[in-house]
This record gives sequence, C-alpha cells and structure tokens, in this order.
Amino acid sequence: MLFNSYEFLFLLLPLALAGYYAIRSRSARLVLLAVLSYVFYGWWDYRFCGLMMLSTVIDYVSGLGMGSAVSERKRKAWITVSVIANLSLLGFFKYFDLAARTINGVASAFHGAPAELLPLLHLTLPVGISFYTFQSMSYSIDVYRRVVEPQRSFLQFAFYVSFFPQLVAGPIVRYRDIADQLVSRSHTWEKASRGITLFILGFAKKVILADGVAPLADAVFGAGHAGLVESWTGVAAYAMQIYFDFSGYSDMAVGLGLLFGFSFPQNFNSPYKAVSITDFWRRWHMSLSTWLRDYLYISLGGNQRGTFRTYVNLFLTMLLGGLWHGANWTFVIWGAYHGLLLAVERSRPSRNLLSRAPAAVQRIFTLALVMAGWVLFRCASVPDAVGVFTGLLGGYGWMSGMVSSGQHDLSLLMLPVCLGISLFLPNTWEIKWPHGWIQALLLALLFVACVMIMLVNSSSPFLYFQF
Amino acid sequence: MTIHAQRRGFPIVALVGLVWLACGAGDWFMRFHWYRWQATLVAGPAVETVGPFASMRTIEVPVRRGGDLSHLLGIPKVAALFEDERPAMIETSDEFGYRNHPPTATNNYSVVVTGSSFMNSGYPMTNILASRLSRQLGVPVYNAAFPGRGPFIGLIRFLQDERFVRNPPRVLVWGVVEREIGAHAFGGLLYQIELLVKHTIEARKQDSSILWRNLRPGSLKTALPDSSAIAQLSRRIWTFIRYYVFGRMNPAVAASGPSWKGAPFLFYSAAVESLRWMPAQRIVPSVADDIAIVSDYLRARGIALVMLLIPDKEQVYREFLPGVMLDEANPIPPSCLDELGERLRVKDVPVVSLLGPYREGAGQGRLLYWRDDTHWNSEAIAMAAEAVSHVVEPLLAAQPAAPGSGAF
Repeated sequence: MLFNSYEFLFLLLPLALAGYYAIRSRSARLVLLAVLSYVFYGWWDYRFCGLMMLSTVIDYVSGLGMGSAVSERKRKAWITVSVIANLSLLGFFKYFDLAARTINGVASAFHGAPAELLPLLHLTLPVGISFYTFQSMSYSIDVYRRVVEPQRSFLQFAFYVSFFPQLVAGPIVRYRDIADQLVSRSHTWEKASRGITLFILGFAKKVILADGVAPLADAVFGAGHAGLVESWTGVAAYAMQIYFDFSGYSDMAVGLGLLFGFSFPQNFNSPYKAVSITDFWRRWHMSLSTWLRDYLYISLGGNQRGTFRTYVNLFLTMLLGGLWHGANWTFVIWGAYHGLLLAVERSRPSRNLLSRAPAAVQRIFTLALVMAGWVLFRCASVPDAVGVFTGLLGGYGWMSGMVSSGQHDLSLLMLPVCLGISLFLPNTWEIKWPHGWIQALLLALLFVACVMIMLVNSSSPFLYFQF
Repeated sequence: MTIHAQRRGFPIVALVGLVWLACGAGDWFMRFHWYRWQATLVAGPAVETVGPFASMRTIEVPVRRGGDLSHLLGIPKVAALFEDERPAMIETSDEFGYRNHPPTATNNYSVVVTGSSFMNSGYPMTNILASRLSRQLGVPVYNAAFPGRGPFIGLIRFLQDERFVRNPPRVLVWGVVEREIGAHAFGGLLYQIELLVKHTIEARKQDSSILWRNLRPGSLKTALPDSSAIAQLSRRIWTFIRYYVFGRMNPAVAASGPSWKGAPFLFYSAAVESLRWMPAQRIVPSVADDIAIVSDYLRARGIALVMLLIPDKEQVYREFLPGVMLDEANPIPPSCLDELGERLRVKDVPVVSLLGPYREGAGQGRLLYWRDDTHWNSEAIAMAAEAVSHVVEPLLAAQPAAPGSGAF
C-alpha cells in the first residue's frame, strides 16, 4: 500500500485513527496498529509478512538472549546470530541474483566452465526489506552495546519493527528513540496539527513536485543520447525528483507518526544547500547515514586507527551504503564515488581553495558533484550511465530534440520551481507554520488538490520502494 | 498550560479533518449510491439472459452526435469539431439479451455472428453485420456479439449457449479486430473457455454470492480509484486545464494529420501502440494455433468457423496519422493480418481479411470508419457483409445440417 493511494487515505488511515482514538488501552492500541501495519505491508504481497515476522522474532529472541546472558561470549554469540540472520535474509532476497550474474560472468571467461554456474532465481524483492532489517539490527546492536535494555514485550517490539509510517521507506528509527514512546506518549492538538501539516506538505512534494518533473527525467534517461542541454535538464530533473519523492515520503511518515503520538527523527535537512559532500551526507537520508556511521564506520574503527585507515573506512562504509540501495553495480560505483569524495574532502586542509569561495559557489560545486552521482544511481547499467555522461559533456551535440515543450511543458515549468524550493526556501521542518484558521484553510485546499492530482495520475510508487 | 496553548493546532486538525472526512464519506456514499459499486460485489440471482443487454429491451434512441473517441476528449467545444450525427433509431434486444429483433427463441439460425463491439455496431440496427449478412445470404443470421469485453466473451457465451448446443448453426462468423490479436490474449483462451464454462454452471446454481475476488487488494487498487466521484471530477477538471492552459487534448486520442475532405478525424493512441507490436510480441503462429483448435472443436459440433479479420482504423488510414503518433526510431511494422490470414488458410480455417479491401477503399477516397469513433461505418459494414457472404455461401451449401438443427 502507498501513502498516496486511495485505499490508504480513505480506507486504512481512517480505520487506524478511528480505532486508535476509540480504544483507551495502551496495549490494545499497539495491537491495533501492529495488525493494521501488517495489513498495510501485506497489501503488496501477503507472503512478505512472514519474512518480516521472522526477522522480528530473531531479533526479539536475540535481544532477550543478550539480556539474560552472563558471559560476554554468549552475548557475542547472540549478536552474531542476529546480524548474520538479518544480513542473510537481506543478502538472499536482494543480492543473490546479482552475485549469480557476476559469478557466471566471471566464470564464462574461462574455457570449459558451465554456461550458468549459479542459476538465477528471479526472486521477488520484499518491499522495504532493507529498511526493516536495518532497523531491527540497530536494536540488537544497541542491546549488545548496552545502550538500551532488551524489550521484554513481544507486542511492543513487533510494533516497533512493523509500524506502518516508517516501515517500507524509513526513516530508519532507532529503538532508543522510540522505546519510551512505546510506553508513554502525549497526544496534543499541536502534535496532531504538526503531523497533518507535515503529511500534507510531504504529499504535495510527492504528487506535485516529484511527479511533476519525473517525465522529464524519464525521457532523458530513457533515451540515453540526449544533447548537452537536455542531459543537464534531465539530470537536474532527476535530482529534484528523487529529493522531493523521498523527502516527501519521509515527511508523510513523520506526520503520520505524530498523529499517533510518535515523534520520529528528521530525515532530510535541505541537502542541496550543502557546501561539501560531507555536509551533504549530514543532510541527506540522515537516518541511514547515521546508521552507517554508528554501526558500520565506527565498528570498522572510524577515525581511530590512523589517517589512511580512516579513508579506507569512509570508502568502505559508503561502498556498502551504495550496495544497500540496490542489487546493481551502478549503486556500488555510486557508493564508491561518494566514499572517494568524502575521503578526498577529509584529506584536504581545512582552509582550501573551495572553502574560501563564496557559499553559493560551494553549493553549486557540491550540487554538480551530487548530480553526477545521481546519473549512476538512476541508470540501470554502466553503459547507460556512460551514455548519459557523454551527453552531459556534449558528446551528442547541443540539443537532440527529445525534450520538447509540447510534451514536457508541465515538467519544464516544475523544474525551476523545484530548484528554487530546494535551493532557496526553508524545508518543511524549518517552516514555522502558524496554527490559525487561514493556515488550516490553505492546508485543506492543498490536501484536496493533492488528492485530485493523485487520483488523476493513479498511483505511482515511491522511488525508494525498490530498497 | 492555558486553554489557548492546549488547543494550539485545533484549527488545522479540525478543518483538515473535516475536509478529509467529508471527502472520504462523500466519496464512499457516492460509490454506493451513484456508482452502485455493491453490484460488482454480489453475483446476483441466476438469470436466463446470456447476452450483454437486458432481455426484450426496446429503447428509442434519439439523434445523437459523437463516438467513443470524441467522448474521450471531454471538452464539448473541441469534440464538436470531429463529431458526426447518428440517426435516431429503435434499439431492441431479444429474449436472450442480444441485439436482434425479437422473437428469436423459436427460430433456427444457419449462421451466427459473434465477436466484440465491431460485430455489434451499426446505426440503425438494420446496418449491423448480422443484418446485412442476412440480407446478402437470404437466410436469418443471429447476432451474438458481446460488446465492450474483447473478442472472447462472445465466443465463450456462444459455446455455452444451450440453444446452439441443441440447434447448432452451420456457420459461426467470429470477428476479431487487429489490436486484439496477440498471443498474450489468445494464449489462455482455451483454458479460459473451460474455466468460464465451469464458473457459469456453478454461479447458476446459486441465487447470489459475494464475489470475494473483487475485494482482493489487486482488485480494490483499481476499483476504489475508478469508482471515486472525486476521481471523476478531478479528471474532468484536468481535461479542461490540460486543454485551455497547455493546449493539449487527451493523449488517448489524436486528431489526424491531414484532414479528410476538409474535416479532421480522430485516432486512438492505444491502437497505434498495438500496431507497433513486433512479431515477437504478437506471436501470430501461436494465435493461429489457438484459433485452429477452436475451429476443430466447432467442426466436431457440426459448425464451420469463419474468421473475420478487421483492420484498425489507424492501419487503414496510416497516411493520416498525426506526427505526434509517429516515431522514426520506432516505425509501425506491416499489419499482422496478412500473416494470420495465411496461417489460418494453411490450417483449413476459412478467413475473410478486410485489410486489402479497406486499404483499397481508403485509397479510393472512401471513409470506412466514423470520424469520431474507433468503429467502422455503414459503408465498411456493407463491404464486410459482401466479403463474408462470398465465403459463407459455399459453406452453407456444402455443410451438412447438424443433428437437431431443424429446417432452413
């Protein structure tokens, strides 16, 4: 089920809110939300619910095991079980075919090797598996590090893993951030108002801005031999699409959480205003970047093992972060690209040529680097990416005519609007939105407009659902 | 905390909540009241009618303008540029819900015509293919076409129809339109026939039952937005914005490039897309195999199958397609009807392909389809009837009467 779908807005969400506020018992509320979360998740494919339950049970039992373990060896055994089980699930469903294709490709270079050393299984990727396994693993690791106490209530833990606002595309919520809220949380008009505001603004970012520029990006990336102007326009359109799509979804998720009294962390903080790649990763998909920092980078040693090792750790962390995004070598290269940039930035003196440039120059330079990375992210293969890069450098001429004002007028209109909003305006978390009747009317009108646009376009999936 | 502070946020919650509830509640109300969605969830009592319409229906249809393509435009002023007038007529359905003049229950028919909307269209009813064919052959011809559901349901209903089990016709003319031809559609035909026959028998045993399959997530995903009053309103508003702000019509249709004798006509975008299907997508040999199996099955029942292959308007009038529908990188390949016709002839299935005659007619300056519709007009139906009669006449003469078929 999608947030921007009829069945969510006018079937599941009304049921969830009505049931939640009609029930007084805390645990009954969690039961209701957990059940509806499984309905929400199972809407795509009911078989995926079993997988999520399996991951939940493994980490719940591991947490209890670590809590009751006397020796450090036993604690280590439990955390090993949790990490291996979660990564195995993720690895099997997401990366098996990539590994098989790669091994078969390498083997085919050798004479006498079988045509297909490993069979391709063509597995259906369970929606959101990357998110809920990481979320669940963060709990186990925090229990191991004694940051949090194990959760004794299976209901509360199952709810934590499955709660529908952040289930399939984040933000990745740490257990430590939500543990207290499971037991006690406030429900105020202000919280609900903030939740509604975030939800509607996120909804607008998705259906108006992201979906507005999407046809332009699709046209350029689909053609693969666009002229220079069209290539930059298409890449800029994709940069806007992925930002507003993902940040819009995150806003909707946080907004929904607030409606039920839960406060989730911010996931995006105007990333295209970043003045460096390091700054970019402090603003983009913050729940993932902090997860990678705390559970991967620091586990590898962080910056505690010398300069060269720090660069290696940065590079490896981003490489694996890229792999997390998708089972394709383009994602790995994208991650490596960002790892390299981070390492290079770290190696520069603090006062360098770029840092002395005006902030606007730094932002433009950073944005250009990020957009170059999005080419790898968007393309289905390395040759496709090479084609787009060729276009960006003018290899196919100035204009190839694939973007015409006749077909893409709406997208061409939306692109500068998106650029202006992302580069110059405050983001949804920075807006100090008053709570008066005029603002209420504007939000109501915006909500109706978004619903109407959604229904005209029918449903389109959030980009990050493939992860 | 003061009351004011406690209630900060109340206006947004109240007003947005109210609007959301109103939209949702209103939409659900309209879904049941206006759209009668509940009718899609209950099978209803078993009925004798097997055809697409209510039985013994007589409707006085006034003069009207416009066809399926002009109706897609959604803007009356623009649609008027393309619309042609349809004469007033009396529309009747027989005892079984098919578009024939009743009574038909006591008649025996040597020839039955089936297929989708093409086989059912004609203004007035004396112009539909079955009627024209009847006049051409001099024998009663029964119209068992089932519009709006593709090429198979008419055939399937014919196969299930006890009338034609007891008194089989000598010839069944099955009309299929070019855009319906693809292995993906025909592939499951035989299985579907078996399954639907079984389901129909089971359904008729019950007075009513809940159609749980229409409540599955996959079905609801399409049914809920499609049966939403807000969605209908949104689409209408967007149609006007798209035209008056961006100057674009509904992308599902496009006006012809060159005009036809000073007046433009409309094409259907999906039909042009289907024309672009490559042989690997259509898999014509597989389609021919499936049709041959149907032909063998009918032959065993004493019925000769005649396939009527109808080209798309977009195929016949290729030269008139507008630039927006053409793509140099992805040109429209030759029609699949020639190959299908050849393969069916090799398999001893009588075939009438209208591609050649219609292209010739178009070259002679004849308009064989409604300007505002995907369907053929009276002139084209007359040509089809003549072509079919040349193939059916020898079969009527040669085909021995099937057991119980009665006189004629």
